[in-house]
Amino acid sequence: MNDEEVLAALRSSLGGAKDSLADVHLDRSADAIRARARGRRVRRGLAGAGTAGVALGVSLAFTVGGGSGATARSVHVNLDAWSVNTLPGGLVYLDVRELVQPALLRQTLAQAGVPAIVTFGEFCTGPSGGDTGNLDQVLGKAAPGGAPKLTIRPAAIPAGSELSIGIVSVSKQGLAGLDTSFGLVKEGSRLTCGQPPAGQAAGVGKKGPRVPGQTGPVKAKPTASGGSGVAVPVKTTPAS
Amino acid sequence: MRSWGVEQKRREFAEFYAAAKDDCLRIVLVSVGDRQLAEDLVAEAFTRAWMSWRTVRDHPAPRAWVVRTALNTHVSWWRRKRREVPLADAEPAAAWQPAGVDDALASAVRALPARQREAIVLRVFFDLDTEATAALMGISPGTVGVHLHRALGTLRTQIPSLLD
Repeated sequence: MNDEEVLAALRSSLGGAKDSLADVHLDRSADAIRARARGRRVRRGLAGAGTAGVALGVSLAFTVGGGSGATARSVHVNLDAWSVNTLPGGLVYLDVRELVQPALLRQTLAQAGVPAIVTFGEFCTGPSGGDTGNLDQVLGKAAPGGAPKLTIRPAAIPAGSELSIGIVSVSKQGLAGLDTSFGLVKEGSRLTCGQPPAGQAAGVGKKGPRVPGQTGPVKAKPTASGGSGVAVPVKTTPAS
Repeated sequence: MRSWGVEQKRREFAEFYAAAKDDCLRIVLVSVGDRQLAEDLVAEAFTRAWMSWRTVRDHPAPRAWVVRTALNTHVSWWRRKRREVPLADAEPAAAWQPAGVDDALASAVRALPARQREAIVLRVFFDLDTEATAALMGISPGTVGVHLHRALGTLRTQIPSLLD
């Protein structure tokens, strides 16, 4: 049997696989791809300008309550780009340093009991414009005295809903940070995704990131939960 | 000075992205065997394509550029991950298992060296001829033949039923 005959046998054997590929689609928009590239250019530009001391980062802490139908378990995933770690007492700590591998981050959060939709470079909202009625209960206050953290109670996420987490890179006065958006959306609903308004994305709007005067990571301390001292703003009604 | 406008550049990229993204994802998925990872790799590759759009647009096979970038990124991420903290409780992601395919055959294909596996994937899954496969892999048709011959030899040995 020569190579061509073996190839033909392989094609026959793998026919089912070819059929199953017909349902494989990449659902990300071209706008999301461009936004991701734009954020990367900003970071590279900053590094080239000698501002490497200003690291990008968003730190969130999640309280795993095992609610909303999600199965929570101990998770410890530490990549160069981001980390998800279950802490003693049921907390899950998320630290994002680079906006890469959002699908894997979503999968990891799901394993930690947080049903989430993660988008880098754009914000997404559900058909009704974002059901944020319970968001204040889902997003807890930062622990006093500690590093900026956001607590999330998965038990407060309504059954059949997911937490939408959108993170985009922003720049202000030549320095960069991250802008984060949260929302609750129904599972399986069609999402409307888009970039924040240009002024905001460029960090020139009122909700641009605070740029620390000292070097060190820019940590997220969202206000949707009622926290104060915003480093990275949180919008409960993402811009389309 | 740029000879094209921003809008034209965006439109060109959007058209290319819409036409190529699913095929690129399928090729990468078959190669890496993990849906989540494949999506991330392809998104990363398209991000780099947009950042170097003038180069990619003028490339003789832009889709090949994206696929190769995605697969090279996979190697890079894999090397990086080896240096990272082990995942104490995390379970490995389930490998993508296409319907109607013998487990032993799927495992044997995945166990092939990367270039041999790519040659098999492109020739068998996507029915590309040697020249098109060579263009996509960025190698000569003769080298494609070498990779293919070695891969088929391995599969013939490991899956004797192929000879039936």
